[in-house]
Amino acid sequence: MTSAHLKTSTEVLSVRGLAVDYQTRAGTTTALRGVDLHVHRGEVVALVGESGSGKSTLGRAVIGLLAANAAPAQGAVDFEGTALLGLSERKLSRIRGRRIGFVPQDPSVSLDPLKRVGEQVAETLRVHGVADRRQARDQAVQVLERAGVDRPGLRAGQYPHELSGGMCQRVLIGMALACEPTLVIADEPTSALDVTVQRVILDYLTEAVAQHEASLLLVTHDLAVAAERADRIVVMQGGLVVETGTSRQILTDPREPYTRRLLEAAPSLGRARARTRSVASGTAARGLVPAEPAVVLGTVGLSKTFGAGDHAVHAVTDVAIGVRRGQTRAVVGGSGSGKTTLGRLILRLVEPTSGAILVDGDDISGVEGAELRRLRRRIQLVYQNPFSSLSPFLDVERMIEEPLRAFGIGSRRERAQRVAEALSRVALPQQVLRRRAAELSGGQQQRVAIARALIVDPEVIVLDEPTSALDVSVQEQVLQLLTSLQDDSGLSYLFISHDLAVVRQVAHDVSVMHLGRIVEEGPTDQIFDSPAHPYTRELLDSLPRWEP
Amino acid sequence: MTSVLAYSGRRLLAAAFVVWAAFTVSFVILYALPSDPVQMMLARGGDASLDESAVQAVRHEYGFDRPVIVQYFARLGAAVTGDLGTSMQTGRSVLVSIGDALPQTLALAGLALAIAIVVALLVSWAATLAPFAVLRELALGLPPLGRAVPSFWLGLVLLQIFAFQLGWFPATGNTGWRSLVLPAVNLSVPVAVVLAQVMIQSFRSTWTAPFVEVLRAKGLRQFRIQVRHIMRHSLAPTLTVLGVVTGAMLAGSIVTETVFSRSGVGQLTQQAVTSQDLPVIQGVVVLSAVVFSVVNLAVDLVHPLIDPRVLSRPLGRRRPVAV
Repeated sequence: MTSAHLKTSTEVLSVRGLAVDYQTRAGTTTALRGVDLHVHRGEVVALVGESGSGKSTLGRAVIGLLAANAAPAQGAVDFEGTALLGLSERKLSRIRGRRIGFVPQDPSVSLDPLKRVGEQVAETLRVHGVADRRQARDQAVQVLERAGVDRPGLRAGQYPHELSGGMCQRVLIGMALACEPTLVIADEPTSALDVTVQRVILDYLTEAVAQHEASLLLVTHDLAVAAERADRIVVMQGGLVVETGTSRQILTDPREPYTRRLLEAAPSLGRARARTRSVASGTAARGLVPAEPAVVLGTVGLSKTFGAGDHAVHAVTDVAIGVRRGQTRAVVGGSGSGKTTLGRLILRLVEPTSGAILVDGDDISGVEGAELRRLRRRIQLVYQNPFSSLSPFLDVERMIEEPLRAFGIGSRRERAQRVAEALSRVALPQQVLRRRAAELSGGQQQRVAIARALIVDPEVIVLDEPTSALDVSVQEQVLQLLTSLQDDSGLSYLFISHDLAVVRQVAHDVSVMHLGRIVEEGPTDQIFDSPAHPYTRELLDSLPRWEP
Repeated sequence: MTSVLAYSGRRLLAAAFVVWAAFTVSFVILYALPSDPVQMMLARGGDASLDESAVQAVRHEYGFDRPVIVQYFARLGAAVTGDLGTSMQTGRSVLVSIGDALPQTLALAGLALAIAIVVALLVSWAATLAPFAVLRELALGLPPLGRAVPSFWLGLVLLQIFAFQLGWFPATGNTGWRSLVLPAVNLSVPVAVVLAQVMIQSFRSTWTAPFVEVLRAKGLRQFRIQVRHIMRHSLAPTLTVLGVVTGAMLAGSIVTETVFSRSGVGQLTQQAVTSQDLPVIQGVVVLSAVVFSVVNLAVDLVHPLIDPRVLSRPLGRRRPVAV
């Protein structure tokens, strides 16, 4: 695959000087400012960049699928000798799906929920005249079979909600390849999938594309994925191509400072990196202090069952974990492992079916009313998506101040003082006080959420995937903020994440959760270096690997 | 399979409950009214000074002398077997009176519904997919306009233009299909307004769904996406609203049938209310509840066929939110 483009130098796709503007309420936003891109036959090209870099816009502009508020694209897009820009919808629709396949980001929302899976595959074949009604049905089953869908005959008659996310993505990939296209555009094809299936789906995608001798334009935010899969990498920033080169060259010899920054921030490439944690940590060097700090938050035999009888779902079963004072306990697992429910149980947002939650040795699982409210001061939450966890109507000052008002702490002036302090602790300028959530970047929003948690001086903060909605470079900054806050004020974290690379950077101890149970736990190094449970190994294997 | 049966069973039970509740509430309200129906009935005969024994006799005949709770169960028992009592005004069986009036109203409502659906489809389609923004905005402005126009006023305007000036359709009466056209158009407007608003909302939100982008990437043209995919998504909220609108059509038929002097359930209701003919009023209320329940039951039972996810959703969240 690596040498495919050397054998034939036929250009499949050539983009020159592509520029795209969006009309927004705030005025015109430029998404692409003159971009060049070339994809050769059989080549895998990765388009890498952070959100707002224009990578998705580029992928979509090629097949004329821009949002309604996009102005007509300027420049030239040449596909196998056809100029695609300015082509009528009628002519474009003959190319889409037939000669250029498209694989979307989130499979769970990308199939029509009201149509059987087989019908949707057959529809592609039929609109392009590849098969008539009867043939299409049989061929659709064959497409599903080739896509690695188990029991394809049965699956064809099912609806999307009856299939798993990974299965839906197989269907979509199969659909994209059904008419033997020469180019496939995949927009973050695995970022919405569970970690353990990401690798399998990527394997399938690249193999299938190679088998069809098609080219692949892989849009991704993940440099590690790009490095692992692509022949060439195109790095984008702010609507421009910053650097282009072979995967090897980009990773081993990046020329541009931005590429270097991206590489440094990419946590999944951080196997050999010095851990932020152990470098920054001056106090309580882990493992070296003979007496381990006391457990500030723990659970004993904690279980939660939703529903009853045949429909009972055992979300959390007999879980015992402990967070030591001033340290970080990570809970890792795939989606559906019960890790988020565990966090909600500890926060008393859902009631446990059985078991105990201990804060400083006191069982809080039965605490109610005013006492429960007082308890909320001691355990705070920072949630995954900062934007949806901040009120769109309040300004930053009001949001950070709100917990103080709720607990009736301080006078107006004292509260303002504390808000200012909290803001400086999370390294936000005082100017943001009057802004609203929508006017902040993702990283700033998450800092506000952290400041809001900090303001009541909690002992423990439950962090539920605190960085997974953020760009890699921002993610890095937020992780550093969290560790330095811990070092300065002895905060304890319960860090819930699916991202092992991130966990490795911040956690002292790791608990691996699978199907509602803790299957393995131990110090971070031990879990990563000598995993004992097969599921832990599966999780570790799913990390992208790239060896120069 | 069990889930289908359980689902149908629950819906059926809910429908029966609605009918029973309508019967009971209407009984309580009507019989708690301060005026005396027997007095009114006899007074209508022009007999100003009434003989107390005659009043008692009539009371006894209609069972009004018995305790209220006994009356309630007697009437409920009779209603279950199909006996809704006799009209105090005409002495005819309520069921027969309604049965005579019903076909006229059903024809009227049926035609009105058909017109409403066609108009709503055209308007919502134009509001979503018309080639120019001006056309879309224009179509978008129609439903609020339709809502702002009072039904009786529109009826009079229709009469003035199409019956009196152009003479295309008769102004009043029940004879022939021509007499049906104007009232049906009149009755269809408020229904079309509601349907169009739901369809526009549903078309627009479905067009922004991520799966539509994938359909376009598959090479589907706009028309096919609209017909094969978007319309089906809009069917569920539209049907749900249709269930609600049916009730409004019964109420609307009172105004329409009065304006166009048509006989039917609406006119029957209007006359029964004016003369406080309690058994007839209650009969109409029960009829409305039955129609309402049957239509909604049908909507509920059809729903899983449109959206297979309905059966796998947790309880209490089976209906999509209709705006």
